[in-house]
Order: sequence, then C-alpha cells, then structure tokens
Amino acid sequence: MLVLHYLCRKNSPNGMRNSLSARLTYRIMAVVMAMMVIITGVVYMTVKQYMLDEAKQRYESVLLDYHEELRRHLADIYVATRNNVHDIERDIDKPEEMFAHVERITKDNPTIVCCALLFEADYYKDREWGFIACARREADGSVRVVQIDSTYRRYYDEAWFRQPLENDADDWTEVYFESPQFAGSEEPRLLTTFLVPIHNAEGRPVALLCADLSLEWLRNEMMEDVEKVNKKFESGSLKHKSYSFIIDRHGHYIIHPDKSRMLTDTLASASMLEGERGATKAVIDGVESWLYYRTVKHVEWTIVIAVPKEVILQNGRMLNVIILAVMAVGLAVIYLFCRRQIKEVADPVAAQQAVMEREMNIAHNIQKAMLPSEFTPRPLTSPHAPLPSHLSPLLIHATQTPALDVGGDLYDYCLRDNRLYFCIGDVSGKGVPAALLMAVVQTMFHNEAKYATRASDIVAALNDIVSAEQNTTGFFVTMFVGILDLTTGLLDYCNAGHEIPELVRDGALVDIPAKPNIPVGALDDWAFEGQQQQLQQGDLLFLYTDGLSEAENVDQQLFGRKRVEELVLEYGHGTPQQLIDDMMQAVRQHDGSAVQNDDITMLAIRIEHLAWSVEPLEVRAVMEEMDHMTDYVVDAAQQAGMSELETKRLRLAIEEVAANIVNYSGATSIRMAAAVESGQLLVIIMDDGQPFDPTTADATDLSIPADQRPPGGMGIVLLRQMTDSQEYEYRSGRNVLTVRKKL
Amino acid sequence: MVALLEGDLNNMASTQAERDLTPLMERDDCDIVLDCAALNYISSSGLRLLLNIYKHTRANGHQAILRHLDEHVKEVFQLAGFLQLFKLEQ
Repeated sequence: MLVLHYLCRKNSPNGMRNSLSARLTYRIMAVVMAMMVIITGVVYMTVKQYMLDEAKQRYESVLLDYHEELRRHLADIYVATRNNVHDIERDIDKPEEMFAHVERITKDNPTIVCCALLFEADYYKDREWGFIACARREADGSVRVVQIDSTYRRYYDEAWFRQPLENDADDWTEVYFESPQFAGSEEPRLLTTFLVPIHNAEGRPVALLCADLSLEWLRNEMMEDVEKVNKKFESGSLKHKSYSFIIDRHGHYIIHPDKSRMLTDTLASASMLEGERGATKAVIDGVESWLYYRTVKHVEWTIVIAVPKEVILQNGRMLNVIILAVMAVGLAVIYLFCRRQIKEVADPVAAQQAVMEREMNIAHNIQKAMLPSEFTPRPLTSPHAPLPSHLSPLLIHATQTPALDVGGDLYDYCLRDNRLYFCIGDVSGKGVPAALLMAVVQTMFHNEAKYATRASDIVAALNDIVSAEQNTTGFFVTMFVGILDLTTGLLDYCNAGHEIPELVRDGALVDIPAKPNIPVGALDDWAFEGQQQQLQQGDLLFLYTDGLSEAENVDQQLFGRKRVEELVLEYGHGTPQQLIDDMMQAVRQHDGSAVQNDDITMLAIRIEHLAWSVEPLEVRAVMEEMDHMTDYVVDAAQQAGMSELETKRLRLAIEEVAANIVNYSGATSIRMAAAVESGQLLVIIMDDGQPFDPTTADATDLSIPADQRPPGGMGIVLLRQMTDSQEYEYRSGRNVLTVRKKL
Repeated sequence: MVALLEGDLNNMASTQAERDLTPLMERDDCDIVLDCAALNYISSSGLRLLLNIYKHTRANGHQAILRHLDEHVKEVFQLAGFLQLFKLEQ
C-alpha cells in the first residue's frame, strides 16, 4: 500500500522520470498483483481442504478393503470350525478320532495354522488328565499331528479355557505367543485363537475346538496390498510414507510393518481413536499424520492407516505452484499489454500536463515579479536630491506563500508625496483564475494610488472595476487599504471585509476601529466608509490574510486570530521581517504535517521616523541668491514650528555656510533640502565646489580680540554655535553638509 | 552721531548698508551710537561692517556705542567678542 500512496502523490520531485503512463501502469499492476495474492491464498486454502477430503475418501476405501479382508479371514476360521462341530461331537467318545478331525481342519484351511481340541480335566478316564489333540502347520507347509504332552500347563483351570466353556459361547482370545509345547521345534508364533465349545451327548460343553490365526501370516497377506496402495498414490521422493498397522483393544501393535514392535509396543494416541471408525490428526513416531481407522468386531482390533500430512498435501502443493506460475505469466502479459495501451492514451495527456506545469511556473514568476520585493528602507522620495540613507521613515516587510503554484492573495505599497499607500487583499478562490483577478486588482491599486488622497476613494474605484469584471468570474476580493502620512503619522484607512490589522504600540495592542463594509466586487453601488487613526513613531502595523488565522493542523484545529494577536505582541518588538519570519515559523509548527490549504500573506510596517521634507531648492552659487536660500530655510523652520529666536540662529548659520560657498569654494550651484526628523529640523546643503569640511576647519580663535582676527573664520564659529550638530560628507563630487537643530 | 539700524543686516544688506553709513565714516569728531532697536538680524558681513566703524572711532579717539540690542543680536555680538569692544547702552 506504501507503493500506491507514493504513486498517488500529486507532485513528484524534480528530476524523476515518472511519466504519467508509467505511473498508471504501476498502479494497475499493483491492483492486479494484490488480487492475485488474494486469489492464490483462497485457492490454497480451498485446495488444502480438498486434498484432505480426497485423502480421507481414498484411505477410507482402502481401509474398508483391509477390513473386509480381515473379516474374511476371521470368517473363514469361524465357518471352518463351526462346520466341524457336529462331526466332532458325534465322535466325542472316541479320543483317537480327535486327531483325524484336527488334522483335517488344519489341512483344509490355509488360514488356520494350528487346530487343537482341548478337553476338560480328566474327560477321558483312561487317558491323560489333560487331553489335547493338535494339528500344526509347520513352516515348510507340512502338518504335524501330535498329542500335547502333560508338561503343558494346567490349561483346564485357566480362565481363558473355563469361561467359554461355562458360557457355552464362541470367543476369540487376546493375542498371545504360542506355547513351546505347541511350537515344538519351531519359533513360537504370535497367535490369536478362535474357541468353539464342543458338547457331549448330554449337551454339556466338555471341550474347546481351538483354531489359531497367525498374525505373522496375516501381516504377510495384508502387507502386499499396502504396498500396492503406496505405489499408486504416493511419490517415491517423500521423506515419510504412509503405512498401516493393527492394534488390539489395549492399543498394542499386533500387526506392524516393523516386526519387532508387534506386541512389544503400544500406539500412544490409541485413545484418540474413538468410535468404530473415523479419522483423526495425531503425532505418531514424531511425524504429524492423519490416522484413518476402522475397528473389526469380535476381535476388537482396529486397523489404522497412518498418513503423514506431507503425503496428503503434496499434490496440493504441486497444484499451488502451477497456479502461481500461471498467474506470474498472466501478470507479465498484463504488464506488457497495459504499458503499450496506456502509453498510447496517456502520453498525450502527460504532454499536456507537462505544458500546464511549465506555464504555471511562469505565472508564478510573473506574480513574484509584480509584487514589490525591494525591502530596503526607503529614503524620502525625491528624484532631485538623493538624501543620506539614514533618513528612512519606515521599515516594511512582506511575504506571500501561495497554497498552490499561484495565489489569490495580494499586497502592494508605494510611496508618494510623503505618504505610504499600502494594501493587502484576498481573492475568493485559489489557483489560476484567482491569480488573474489578483493581478488586475493590484495593478489598479497602484494606479489609483497615484491620484487618490482617501483610502475609501481607492476602495470605491477598485470596487467599480471588479464589479464590472464580475460578469465573468463572479469573484470578490476582501481588502484593507491604508494611506499613512509620513509627516504627521495620520493613518487613513478603509476596510472591505478583510481581517483588521494588529497595531502594536509600546508592547501593547491598540484597537483599530474599522467598519467592515463589504468585500470589493460584491456590490457595485456600495458606499465604502473609511476611518482615521493617529499613529506614532515606533508603532508596528501587522496585516495578514485569513490563510494565517485559519491554518489547520491534522486535527483540524485552527491557528486562530487569538494566537495571531498573542504572537504579534510577543514578536512585535523586532523588525517587521523578524515578526513575519517568526509568525511563519509558528504557523508551520502548528500545521505540522498538514498541507497548507490557503494562501498566507503578511505585511508589516514599522514607523521609524515621522518625517517630512520640503521640496529641495537649487540655485546658482551667487550672492544674489542668498535671500532665496535663507528664505527657504526660514520657511522650513516656520513650518516645523521653530521659535523665532531659533529660526534666526538657524538662518544665521545657513547664511554663513552659503556665504562661504559663494565666496570661497568656486561652486557653480548650491542645492538645499530641509526635513523634519525625530524632533529635529535638518538642513542639507550641497555644492559642487572645492572639498571643504567646515566641521573640522579651524575656527576663529575667539580669544584674539575681534579687531585683530583674520577675516573669514567667523562664519564657522557661528555655524557651530547656532546649530546643534553638523555632519559633513564629500560624495559624488559634492560637498554635503547636514545641519540639525532641535525643535 | 546716531545711526538707526533697521531690519536684517545680512550679507546683501551689508553691501548697501556700507554705502549708507559712509557719512559716519567721514566724521571723526564724535562718538557713534548705533541704535539696534529695530535690528532683527545680523550676519558676519554686518559684523565686519560694525567692526570697521569701531576701528574708525577708536582711531580718532571716540567710542562706538550699541543701543537696544535684542536677545539674538546680543548673543551674536557676544559670540563674536564684540561686547568687549563696543559699549552697551540700553
């Protein structure tokens, strides 16, 4: 699934060759592979079950065959013995006849390895106490007829003999080893015996006809068939094969492929074989196997076929491998087919997408270029008199971070006539359409700022334009427009449905009462109302769009206006750039892994100095222009509200400087500018004469009586005495003298 | 002799004032009183002019007297050290 997620990301990193067709192909392949895995799993489970069922059926039918065979052998003995009962009972009084009977029975029935007649104690009065006639088939096939001698134990007292006799009922014995008296010179056999009571003329049971069934013989008879089954169903390469065995009612092995375990060993899991027949899982001799079993009545033996699990599932495994192989081939075919088909369809689409992406980039670049990016503190504007750069009235910083490639937020500012015109706005919607409207509004704002004096006028003009555009886009723009008079600090502003800016003064938030009006472009005949507020030096104004306050994190919690307020207060002591950077960091932290869902734009303005400047004066460096120059200075001083006395002193200082320039410097022109800054009046005098620094030149030695001083030095004394500070710079071929006087 | 100085004695005016005060410079028999009640402003050229008058009166053993100096002009004279030269009268 990780693979799928990766493929579904909207933007692939630069430089990756993930063509659209490749992505589509991989997606399809992933789905198909997943399906195949599921199918294989289902098939495997089904096949397994099928294999088990099939094995059960198979082995159960084999079991049935065994069962029938065994029953047949037992039945043979039963029939053979019973058929002879009548004849034996007829000859009951002739002990010698007994031998003939047992011999005949043994000879006629290959199933019976030994047949004997055992009489009760002292039946034949003139014969031995325990009379036994026995006919035994020897290993070579011959039948030995013998009377068992009296060393044989007192069978006539034992329960196995007495019970069938007393009950007058046939019975099978437990499995036992043959007695040496019967075995003779041969190895004793493992036997089970069928006992049939023989009656005398009165009908009283007096002897038992015993027919022995050799388990060895039985094993040999049945093992052949087992081998046939194995060959038929199982491959020769398996570690464990299936085998069959028979256990008696006590769980002893009575027939087993391993002869040595017969009667000596017990099946551990015998208790699991419940009922007359069935199947059960067991661990036998350390091998996980299925045991299929069936019990033979009368003898109460259970025939068991033990099949290792492996054997059952081997065929199933083979099947699974084949299925997987076929699926792999299928997968490869699908891949090749897909790739080709998709390429035909998707490559044109991909090409189109690539073109669109390229164009989006261009739009992004255009937008960036349109936004004012020069953030150096602006000096007071005048094309005529480049003033020293330390006279900056403002610090401004702004950022715009679009959510998509281009944004619907806008901001702008420009300086004109000692006024800062600024705005911030948010076009409803995102993406390319919003960006286009944003471009229109921004351009129009810039135009209106050239002529307007009231913020509400600018907003009204924009409203006219956007309302007209509304026929096609239906968008509107929330905006905040402000005009800050840099000489007085008066802010004229108009809000059009936008977030009210934050104002920080001396570490506290100041309210900006603003009528919200309605957004620009909503109604074409709305009368926009603006307000005014007096700002002070050091005030920090922070404007933002709702992309900031409504930034969401993964838990859908908003950043919030309260948080914006708190942070503006916290970071408001720094520069506008610091404030904006800190705010951006805070919102990024808040968002965490969530994607930015709206454009975030911020504009911060800090008032450094409330200042104004008088339009500079440029004159020829001749004495006739002196009045012109002093009038200029006096005028400025009066505008600045300087006292009459101080004005006179200033005038004197300036006159002395000008006189010096006119008389001694060889200058052709003098340029003057006056400005108010930080409670001081500045006068800047520039000339193109010889370099001369009045701040370091020798002043008249005032200790020398006035009538003995050399002429000319007086002016410098007066300059220094009449003003508070003087600064000199020689710049671009000009003497630049800046004189300050407190107001 | 009494001369009434009126207005702003800046550098331009000094040139003209010099011409106007020539009659004073031709007399060498009396003190010269400069009434500055109406004198608003004086620059270094004006100072130079007054200095010449002072030198002139001293040369012929007379005094140059300043009268009714306003605050600004007085300060300027003081800076220039003229108050040591001229006699002040209120």
